[in-house]
Amino acid sequence: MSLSDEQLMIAVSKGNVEAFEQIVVRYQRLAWRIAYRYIGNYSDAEEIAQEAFLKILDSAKSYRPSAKFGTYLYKVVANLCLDHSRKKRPQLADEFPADKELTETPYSNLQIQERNQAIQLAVESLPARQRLAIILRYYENLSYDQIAAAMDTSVKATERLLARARKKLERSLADFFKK
Amino acid sequence: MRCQNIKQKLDRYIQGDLPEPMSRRIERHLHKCRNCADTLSRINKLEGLFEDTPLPPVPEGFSERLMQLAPQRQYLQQVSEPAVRRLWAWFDRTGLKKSAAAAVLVLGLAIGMLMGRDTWQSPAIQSVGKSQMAQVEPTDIYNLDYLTDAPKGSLADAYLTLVSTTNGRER
Repeated sequence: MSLSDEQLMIAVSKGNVEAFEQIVVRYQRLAWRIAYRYIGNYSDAEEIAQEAFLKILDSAKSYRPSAKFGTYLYKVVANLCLDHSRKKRPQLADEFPADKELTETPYSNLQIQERNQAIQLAVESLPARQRLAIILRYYENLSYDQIAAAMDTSVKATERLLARARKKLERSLADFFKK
Repeated sequence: MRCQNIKQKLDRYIQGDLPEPMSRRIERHLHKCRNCADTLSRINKLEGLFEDTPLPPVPEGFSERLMQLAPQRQYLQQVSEPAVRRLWAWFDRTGLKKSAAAAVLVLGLAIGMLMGRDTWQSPAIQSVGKSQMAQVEPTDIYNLDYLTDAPKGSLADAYLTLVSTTNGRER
């Protein structure tokens, strides 16, 4: 019988490395997803995703299961993404290297590729917090409560943040709204 | 409920994330308000654009690389658990915490006074008595002689006038 996240974290707090590895295997895809959607390049995204787990390891002794582990991980990754934006000069959309894997996906239809690239660029051009909120809402399908918890803000503030972000995206992606 | 408030709630309405009474109020409003109904339609459309967007898989070896870093991180965590924190905990246990804090304060004051002594005991300043201070030109103490040749009306001249005890009188 597999242990719950909370049970694993208790083991991690006692120095159990195998328990930590199980946590990583369970949640690596989640951490990677958010980091990659936010940063847009492999190496930085991997760095952020790894750092998220290492930060969780650092504070394992003080971890209290007051919320689901997934929520806690979202919060850690979200903070690292926002820190990344603060430290690094925002990369312009055209500085992103052509994503080889994306062009080789089963979605070979040119229009769909163009749409996806346009969406990617539009999201990347958003201010940091709006970008993060959009990713958590539309890629992770989180509720407003969950987004607010991950971004350490209120539900009302999340509503305003997403409303502004949607307005900008509608302008950037106007062509796709006409179709 | 105003349209602006309604529009802000529409996304949560789509998610089914609103309390039942509010959802019903929004629904009634949408039947009457074309503007808000259009906004709802755009929000739905935007959500549709995000469906099926591809994502590269997790980089190969991600967890292996991470597990190589983990023991180092654990080690650093143990070693860097500050010696100061352990020392402080010892003081706490032995009841010497307040004495330690007082000792640190006294030490800091003593060091500050010793450092200040170098300044107020400086021969240059000591050699000039209080009554003499009023007679001595700052240009003499601070070696600003080279400014006395400054042309009248120049910045250097203005500065000298300010610092000089003769205060504008002929130098």
